Amino acid sequence: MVNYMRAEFYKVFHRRYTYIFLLVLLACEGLLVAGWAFTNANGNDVGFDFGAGVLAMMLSVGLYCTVLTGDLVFSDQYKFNTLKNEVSYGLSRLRIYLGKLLVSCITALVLCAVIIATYVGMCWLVLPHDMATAGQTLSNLGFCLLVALPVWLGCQALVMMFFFLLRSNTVASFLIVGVIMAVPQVLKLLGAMVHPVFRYAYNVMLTPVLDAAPNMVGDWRLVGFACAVGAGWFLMSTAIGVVIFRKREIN
Amino acid sequence: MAEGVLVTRNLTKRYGPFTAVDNVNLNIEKGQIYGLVGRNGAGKTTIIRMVTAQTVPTGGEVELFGATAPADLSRMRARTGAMVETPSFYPYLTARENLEYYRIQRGIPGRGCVDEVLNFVDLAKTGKKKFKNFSLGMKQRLGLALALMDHPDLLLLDEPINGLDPEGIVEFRNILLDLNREQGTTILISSHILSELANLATHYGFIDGGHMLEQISAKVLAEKCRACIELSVDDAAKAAQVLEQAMGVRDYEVLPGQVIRLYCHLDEPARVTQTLVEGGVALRSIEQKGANLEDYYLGLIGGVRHG
Repeated sequence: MVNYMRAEFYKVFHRRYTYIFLLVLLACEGLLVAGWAFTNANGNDVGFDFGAGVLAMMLSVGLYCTVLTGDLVFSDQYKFNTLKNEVSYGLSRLRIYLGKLLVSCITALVLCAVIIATYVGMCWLVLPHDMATAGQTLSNLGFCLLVALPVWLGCQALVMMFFFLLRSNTVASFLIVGVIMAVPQVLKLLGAMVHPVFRYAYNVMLTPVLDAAPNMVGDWRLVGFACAVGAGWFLMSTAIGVVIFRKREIN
Repeated sequence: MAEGVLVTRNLTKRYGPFTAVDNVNLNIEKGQIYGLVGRNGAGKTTIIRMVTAQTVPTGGEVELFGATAPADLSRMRARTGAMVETPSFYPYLTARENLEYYRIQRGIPGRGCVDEVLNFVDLAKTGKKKFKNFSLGMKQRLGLALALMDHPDLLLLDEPINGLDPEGIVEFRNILLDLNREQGTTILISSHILSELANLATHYGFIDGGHMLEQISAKVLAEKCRACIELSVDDAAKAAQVLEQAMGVRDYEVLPGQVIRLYCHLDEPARVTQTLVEGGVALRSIEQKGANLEDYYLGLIGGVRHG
């Protein structure tokens, strides 16, 4: 497994895609912070607390980023037919599945750390800050990230399941976005119009937990609930993915 | 007794109502170059894909180096090198990067093996050229490089010379012959280019419609395909005596049904006929026989099918 993961990291860090993906996200962050600095120069008052606090409002963006980190690791295996090189050498399908899943999770965490640290650093450097409130802002942000991390990892497992099960990464990506974005809205509607049981299903979807985080800072039950939701999605997606991938034809 | 490197027992693959491979029994022993012969869609690739775990058999068993249990089979697959259909690599990596990726993944120690195998297939100077910019011949050679990287005991090659130019085919053939002779590598090679297989194989398996029609050694096949004049006469013993005395014939065989096969004087059928008539032998028919691999295969499957 260690060799398998090392090889996956070798591939990920020998792709331009990885660096372009990172640079584009960092550039977007830079533009956002620069924009605020520009408005400040014209009489506005956007401080570090607001700038860093925006991250807590954008936790759902992390769910969509898992599609990119998944694609980064899975690398269109079906399109390039490269899985046959792995199974024909006797690597077990379980090892292949779990190896790619773990590498995608670690890659996502590393990129996430770089992106968040850079953003917070830029806000600190460019926007006016008050030492007294900055600590509280960072603490709140840390809490929101604690809620978000397990949910993001659960989503990463879902992404990998779709990539392993569907031949087309494009179709898989659309389905993932559907599960992240559309399914909760449908369940919410059904909960209101058909039966309350759909409301419970809505609560264990990926986005509602993240949406609740900024309003429930300090409530550690939310962290526990997020861990349960994340673990549930992670284990369920992985179990389904492994079972189906074991019998999958590699063409 | 020779070691069975790859054995299949009643190997079967069905896709719904269609049976792609039907109870195929293969037996490939150490040191053989086994040519799997069949037209497109005969089941050659499906057999190799089952052996390499790319597809799960519907029935039957695969035995690799004596192992049949799934976990043992997986371990034994590490002793094989495979090139199934078109070689597939990451298009955004170079030849060296692609092989390095698989070297790390397979836990092969030392980076030297990548350079060694790239030199072997003459791809050492491709530099920063990405796989997506390779010619078909270069892709085939990189596929072979991957298959050879861990010094396999068994090479599984599915249509490996497709897309190679004539020079490439000769190079490829020489590489395989060297591996077989110098390292004792057992090779299973499937192809529908029979003339090429005839230059390589020590054994053949003829497959059609998912059925194994015949397994035969190249030596026996050569005997069967040997050029001769086949004579049908009223008295084969007398005919043999006449031919021996009048023409000094020694290389012949008498078959049941008063049939004689002459393996000499192939360019003198008129003289043979005259000698027999003058010796008082009644000649019913005379026919020049002999086949190449292609004729033999077509004979097995009942000739060329049209439509």
